[in-house]
Amino acid sequence: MSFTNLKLHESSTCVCMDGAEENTTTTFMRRISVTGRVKHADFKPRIDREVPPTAETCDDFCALREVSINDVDNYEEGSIVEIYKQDLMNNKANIFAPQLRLSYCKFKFVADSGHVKYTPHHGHNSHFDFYRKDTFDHTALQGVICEFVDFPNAQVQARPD
Amino acid sequence: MFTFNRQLLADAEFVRIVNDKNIILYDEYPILFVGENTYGLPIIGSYIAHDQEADDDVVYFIHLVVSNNAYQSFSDGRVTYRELLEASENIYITEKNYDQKTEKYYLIPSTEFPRDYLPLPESHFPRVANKPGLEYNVSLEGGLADENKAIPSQASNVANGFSEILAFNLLSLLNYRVIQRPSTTGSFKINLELQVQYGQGEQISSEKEKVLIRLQNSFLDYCINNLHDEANKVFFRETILNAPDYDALKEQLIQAYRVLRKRKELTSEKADVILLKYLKKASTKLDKALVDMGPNFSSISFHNTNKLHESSLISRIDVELKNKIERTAILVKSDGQDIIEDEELQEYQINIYNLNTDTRVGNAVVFFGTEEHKEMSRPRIKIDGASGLENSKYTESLHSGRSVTVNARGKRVQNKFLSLLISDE
Repeated sequence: MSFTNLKLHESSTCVCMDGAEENTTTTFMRRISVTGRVKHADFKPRIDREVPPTAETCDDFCALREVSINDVDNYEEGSIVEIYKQDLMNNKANIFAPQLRLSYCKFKFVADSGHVKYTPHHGHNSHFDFYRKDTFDHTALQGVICEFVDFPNAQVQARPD
Repeated sequence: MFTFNRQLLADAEFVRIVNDKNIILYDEYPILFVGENTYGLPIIGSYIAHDQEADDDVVYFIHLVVSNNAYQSFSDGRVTYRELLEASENIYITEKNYDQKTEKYYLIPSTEFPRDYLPLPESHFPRVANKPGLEYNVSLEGGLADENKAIPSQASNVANGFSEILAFNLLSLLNYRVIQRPSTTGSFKINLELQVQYGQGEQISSEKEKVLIRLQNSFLDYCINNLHDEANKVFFRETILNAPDYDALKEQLIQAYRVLRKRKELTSEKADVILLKYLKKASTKLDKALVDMGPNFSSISFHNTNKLHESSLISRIDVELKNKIERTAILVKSDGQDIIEDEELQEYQINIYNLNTDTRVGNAVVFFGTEEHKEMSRPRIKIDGASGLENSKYTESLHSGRSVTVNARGKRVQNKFLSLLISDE
């Protein structure tokens, strides 16, 4: 099994990866934590992060194992960035963490990175879920281009140092 | 880039969050969270910045240790996070390395904390939607209830019904009960509170509490709102098919069991047994609780509330929903046998022992069957029509104990009646 890192065996009933497949041709984008470069941590699913919440439903169970990415070949980059900004505002990041940086990278997966599944929701039509394979290597992504967004906040329009 | 004077190391015991970190706002990384240190003092934490240069995944957080009173003021919305930070002499910075799984703690005087990185003045405790809590209230609406009045026996019938359903211990937890908070005399609002102790007198952790409340709310939502559309697929079947809402509830029960019963596993079959047992009970109790709905109150709303007094509506039950609930209850009472319905009015001799002349609903004793073998049943009766029931043949039966002949359409299972709809002509 090449997805053991996702610990899918923890549920006997939930099926998460149905319909997910490898995709090395579409350009995707994802927010990253540090400006200008992709780190291994940027592709960690929620189960590998801070105190994952308990899953009560299959939707929750799967969500903890998925990494959100957006299709930027078929959808407009600008509107995806607006969604990123909206998410940060919904989480009040601009109030509690005013210096939280909004950066993202565009990339393509290589073989054996993992599988992706198209999961549009709530008007986010560009949304895909990525299931990380055990052999995933963030340094092997192709065509990586990273951007910084001057996320507006009330205090300051800072540029990264 | 976030920089600060690392000279002063903080006392780790004081700054580290040890119990149940509760993440209030989350975006890839925790934005705002609360917890306790080993001394039981509340800590409010927030995201400052990522370390832009480290190869590892390193994040800086504020940990603000506050008194219980200060935390209460914050969570009540009376004071902002920014105000608490500014009032504090020292601010603690936690340097968390997610890759190495280490935390380092530093102390800096709050006057030296870089102002650009301080949370904004609008940093009120966020009102998170649908944050579940242990309190519920049931409100009677319409009719007398709108005048803030209620008929005590009717209000208490409703309260008891909901209270009993809420008390269903789906997960067989120890020390699980519902208490009814006293409401003012004649009030239309009934307050219920769930009390749980988990294990050997341990207080249930907030994370587990959330799982429990969510399960209770889903169960309540299902048996009040959705069961009726799936009732004939769920009850008295060899296998349950085409009941997606039931399946979702069952999955939630299984997951909750895992969390709250210390990793014991609930099989699908056992889950069915538990759910069906409680759904049948809930159906019957709900039906009974709603029997007085009519002129004195036309609807009931049932809310779940939390410590912040935010409430989320579980259901508003009006007459239409009440009728669905009644039909489901009849199905449950039929116990899987065929329900025989009179197509035309039939003559029955009944003894009315209970009748509400406002709602026109009551109960009667009926004997039915062959000459040699009559069976007794006590169905609910409803009297059609608009003419007043005081001093009628019905109240005559009620007061005198004598039987009365009525024309009615009955629903029965073999010779036992489940309901009688009496036509008052």
